[in-house]
Amino acid sequence: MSKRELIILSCLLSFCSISYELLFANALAIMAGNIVWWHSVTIGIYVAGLGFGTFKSTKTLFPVKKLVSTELKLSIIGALSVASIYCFSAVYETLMSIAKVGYITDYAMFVTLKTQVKMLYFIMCQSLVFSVGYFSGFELPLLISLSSNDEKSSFSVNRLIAANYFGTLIGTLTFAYFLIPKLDTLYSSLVVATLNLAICLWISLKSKKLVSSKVFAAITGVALMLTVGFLGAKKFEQTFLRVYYRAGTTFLSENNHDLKSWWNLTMDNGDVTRIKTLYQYIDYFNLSWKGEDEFLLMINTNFQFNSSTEQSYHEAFAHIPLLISGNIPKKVLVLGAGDGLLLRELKKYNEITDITHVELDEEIVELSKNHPAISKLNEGVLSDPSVKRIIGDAFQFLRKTDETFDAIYIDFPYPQDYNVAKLFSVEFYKFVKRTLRDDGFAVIDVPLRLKEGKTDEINRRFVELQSNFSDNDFRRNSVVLSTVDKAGFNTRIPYLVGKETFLFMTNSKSKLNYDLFGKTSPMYPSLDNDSLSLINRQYFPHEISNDFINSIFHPQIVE
Amino acid sequence: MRTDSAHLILDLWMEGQWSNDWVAKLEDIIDQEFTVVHKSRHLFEPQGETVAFILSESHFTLHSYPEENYVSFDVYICKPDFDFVQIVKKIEAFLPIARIHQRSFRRGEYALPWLSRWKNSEKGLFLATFILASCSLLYELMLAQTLSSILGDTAHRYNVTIGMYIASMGLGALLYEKFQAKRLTTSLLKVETLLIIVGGLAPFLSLILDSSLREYPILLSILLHSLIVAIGVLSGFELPLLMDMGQKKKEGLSTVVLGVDYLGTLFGAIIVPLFLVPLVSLFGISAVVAFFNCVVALYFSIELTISKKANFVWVMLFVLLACLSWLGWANHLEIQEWIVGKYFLGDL
Repeated sequence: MSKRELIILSCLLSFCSISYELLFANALAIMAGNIVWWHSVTIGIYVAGLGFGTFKSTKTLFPVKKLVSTELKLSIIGALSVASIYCFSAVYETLMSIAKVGYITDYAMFVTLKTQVKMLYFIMCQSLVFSVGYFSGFELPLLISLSSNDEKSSFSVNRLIAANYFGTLIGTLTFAYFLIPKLDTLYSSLVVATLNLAICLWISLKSKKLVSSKVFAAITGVALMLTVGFLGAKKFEQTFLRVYYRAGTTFLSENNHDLKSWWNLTMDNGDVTRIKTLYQYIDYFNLSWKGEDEFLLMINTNFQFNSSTEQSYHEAFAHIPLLISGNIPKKVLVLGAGDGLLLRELKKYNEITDITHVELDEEIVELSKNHPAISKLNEGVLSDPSVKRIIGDAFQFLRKTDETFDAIYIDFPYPQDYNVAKLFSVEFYKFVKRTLRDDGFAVIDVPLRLKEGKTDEINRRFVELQSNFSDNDFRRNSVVLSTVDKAGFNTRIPYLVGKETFLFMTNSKSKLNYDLFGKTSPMYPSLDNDSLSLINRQYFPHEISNDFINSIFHPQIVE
Repeated sequence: MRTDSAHLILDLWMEGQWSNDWVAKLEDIIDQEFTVVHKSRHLFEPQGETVAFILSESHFTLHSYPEENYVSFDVYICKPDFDFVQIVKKIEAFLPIARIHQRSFRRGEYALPWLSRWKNSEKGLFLATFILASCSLLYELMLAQTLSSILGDTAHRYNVTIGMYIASMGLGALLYEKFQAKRLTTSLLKVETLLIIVGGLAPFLSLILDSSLREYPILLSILLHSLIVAIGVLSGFELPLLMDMGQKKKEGLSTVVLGVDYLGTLFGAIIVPLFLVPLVSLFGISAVVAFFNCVVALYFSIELTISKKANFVWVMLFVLLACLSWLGWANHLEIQEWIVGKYFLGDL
């Protein structure tokens, strides 16, 4: 092989390898949450694999042969990479949904089981990452020995290394700007594996004498596998999504537990529609739970709303702050809440004349505007021209805006990873405070824990686990409240309605209403006197301390 | 000369009537495979012989026991990991073997357990490489985290930072080839000084840049990304320097240094999300990393001072930098409060 060919090869091979690594990291980050964590661990294990591979690659007589077989293995693992993460995740999720319910009533036992299954999940996923690193580690030494075998093309090893690094750069940039926005992880994995196989074929054709016919047969086999992959990817993804979201529920909602009917029930009930946007995956689907049909929407596999419970949630979110503050604001800012359900509630007040809505993801707004089921729920409020909509990052909006508001409603995903923790940080709340008029209030949907009963991401899905108030719950409350305190909000009223907790905060000097008994209204039918009267009698144990402050420069995540 | 060698020991039991051709055949195989410098043999009465060849690759010995149809066969080759497969295959192909028992050993330094194979100064180099590798990655990760707070979109920021880091490490390696550093330790100390200053201050620098250049987003983005490139290039320069220092200490040590570098990177990548970020603030981590980097640089500068009996300036410099980064660590909460308030939040 000529000098130029070797350099191109070095560049292309490192492109494929880093793409696999990034595919793993991204697929895992979406399935299991916590982007920073999975990215760091995956790159670490990949690099360790690389090192181990390099260490193991002793000189061989036929580097071409070895290179071909390495590439063959890599394209097989690459083609299966995202698909296997999907499979592992589906099994994990199903197991967890089942375990959450009656089968294990002991919370401690559930946590132990969860840790063990999660560990297994981690090992299975990361061993794939390690093997990609391991085989990729062979590439560079093999190319180096190829270059030194041929005296005509002997040249500096550093150029090969540089080409390798350069391929890595192209890989990460292509991945960030093209593969992920345009293609989606599953298809990307197949495309990269195809490229890898093409390289493998090219090397074998270049040195036909050295490569046996068995290798060509294997290449044909992998090519067939990839074709099947491309043709079946959509169907595979659909099956995966149905199992992922429905298998646990259908198992629990039926008494009849034979495998066949379980599978049929999981597959029935229509598609799980997945929309990939620039920022997230939006999944929505129908689910039947004990005979009732529900419509659910998930973002990055985290629960967003359920048609059967969203009303009480959004009524509690929108109306209770107005009851507490005692007056109705004129100018309101809504951050997040792209589904429009909160806007629907706010629109019930004629006094609210000016609503500004900031949402990061344009596509969720479009979806909620146009999808029949969602637009029926939000009563078409997103098409209302009187709502001023800004598509952008709420953090950057608050940082740059000069406007001030009477009320700010904040609805973000819970701060389970460092990325979202930013939207619950002391810096963010300082911007909120600046944007708020002196007599205004802000209300946030936050994860707090009442001394009895509890709300969390798990329970929002299906079931309630019996548990006591733990140290972790204490920490969770303290993080939220200390951060808000540090940002300068003196009056804070956390409240719980149903299973959802909210935090009302203000610096207003005017009198607040703590007793909401008897303030029921047809405007919010699901809030009855029972839930309203409980508002000022709830106890959220916490401690205000500098140790608990969530800052973007020292993130505290809440699990 | 490296002592790493390979030693093959074969016990051969033959089939059928004993023939002296067998021994001749074995000698032929050795003749074909290696360069024989000197041959000597002794015939015993009434039968049996001992053959010894001196090879330019070391030696070969053979003892025959015709009455037992047995041959003892030894080859010692002064190449690590020499592949004896071809020889054993040939023996099996050309001789009527009834039973073969083979063992191969690593000999020389290579035979020692991993850690006892190295001298203390070599172990010091490994440890230093390990720490430096994790320091470099930590600087980059802290920068990625800062950039994600300034520019938004965490996942994207991490993808781009890792890619640019690896690529600029490559660039550094290429530059290294151009520079042809002669005085390795001095060059390393220069690189370390820059790394400590740029890497340790990177989060501060990016916040200050952000506050002063907010009106020029393209210029800001270029400057922020050039911080990633700067750290990457310096680390890319650092690795071949360390490898050459290893190679200078002992032949073949450079690959070990490379392996240790990978391990250090892995360590850095694991401790960031698991321990550092939950426990310490970003500015605190930067200060601690800079401190460890100073300690390693101090180690090299002391080594240099002892061997050259000069260059006390380097020691002073790194003691100073270590003190500064320690002060930074001790007061990181106050510094963070001040710098974030002044440059990130504006006048709130």
